[in-house]
Amino acid sequence: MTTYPVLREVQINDYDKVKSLFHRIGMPSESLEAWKAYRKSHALKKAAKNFSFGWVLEAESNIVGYLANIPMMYSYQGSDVFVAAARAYAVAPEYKSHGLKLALRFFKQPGVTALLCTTTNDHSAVVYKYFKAKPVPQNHYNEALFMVFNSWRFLRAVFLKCRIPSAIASGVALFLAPLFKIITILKQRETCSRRQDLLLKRGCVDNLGEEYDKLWTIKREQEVFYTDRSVAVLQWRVNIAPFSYHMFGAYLKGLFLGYILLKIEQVEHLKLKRCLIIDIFGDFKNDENLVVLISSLVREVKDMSVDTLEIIGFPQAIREAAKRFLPFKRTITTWPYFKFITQDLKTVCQNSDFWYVSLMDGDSSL
Amino acid sequence: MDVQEKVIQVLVNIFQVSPEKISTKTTSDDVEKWDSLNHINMILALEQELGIRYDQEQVVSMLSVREIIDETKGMLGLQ
Repeated sequence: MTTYPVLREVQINDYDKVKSLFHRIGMPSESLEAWKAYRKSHALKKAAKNFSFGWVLEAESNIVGYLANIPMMYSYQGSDVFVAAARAYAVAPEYKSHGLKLALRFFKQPGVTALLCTTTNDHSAVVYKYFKAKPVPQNHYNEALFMVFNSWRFLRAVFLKCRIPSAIASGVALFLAPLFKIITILKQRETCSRRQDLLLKRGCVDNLGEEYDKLWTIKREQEVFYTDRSVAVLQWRVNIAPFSYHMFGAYLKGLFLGYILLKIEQVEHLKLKRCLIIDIFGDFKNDENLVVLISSLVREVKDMSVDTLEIIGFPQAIREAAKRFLPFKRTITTWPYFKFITQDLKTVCQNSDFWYVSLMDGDSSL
Repeated sequence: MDVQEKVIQVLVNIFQVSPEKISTKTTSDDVEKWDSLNHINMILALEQELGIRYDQEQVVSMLSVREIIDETKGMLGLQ
């Protein structure tokens, strides 16, 4: 019989034991630097002095359960909305019936206006639903759009995902790659649009100009639920894994329109290097500008030696522009969940235009 | 059918075990399929079967058959 686990707040010196738990149950663990970075979230400067960074279940001096809690600031009509985002829900198999205690602590925590669970699986989705969380109001969040740069690696990843042994997956992918390459050429034949007056310039996140903050100051007044995109928060987020992110500023006749943020991920178990469009944010004036910018982005990404380029979430106008270059689709089986505590947000969140959903939300891209 | 029988019947259905494996001494440790997902399924099934609504705090502490029966009887005013 297992010892009854004790639930308590996580401490920074629990890191090694939590890492052991992750290792034991086959989940990827985070770096200690990432743990420390969460404790420096800009959101803490504005709210919740006694914020808890997560909870652990402890038994016989071991950590047998863990749920991280990341502080985040959102904005709606110019008002700050303090949000807690769940991350890394993990419970050792022998304590599997005790996992709900962690979820209860998350959903009952004081001092937050909203709760967000962006990385879910079928199992945790049932738990979140039980605690009255709802799927984010974005009709196409479960449909990722992507394009393929390397046919062989992409096909190998597909076969690996189907649990085909690595050697066979590599061989079959190699055999089929020329045929798939023809398919990608046919499907990805949207001609690249170029305009001299509309440029995408690579930027360094540590040196973002005041135009970024000006853009955020304007956008945060809208009737849209945005995660904080101030320069301080962009820098906080990117500097958790600085070599993974790429920032591009968009300029029309020299005037700043907005930015595109990319993240490159090595998906170890699929041996796939993919590039994700984390954020497209700005005042792009019209859809044609957006098409030109995404076209420029595709050219930039081609030089990054990645296997795929993918976009998840975003409003329909952005998806339509992206679809011209990213014609493939895959279905994501999980969905982000949220729960608003205050009645005013509960009422307005029914509208599908309410939330500018992207991988910037919650812990999706942390 | 009394509360104990109903509770055991729900547990048998949810955890897919034979009725002999569930007694008032059974805890979550004794049942292989008793994880947080099936725990919620069990709670939802009990709520539907008995026409009650457990408090969320109660739910996370109901990790043995004895506790489930006691809490359920309390909800039904049978204690």
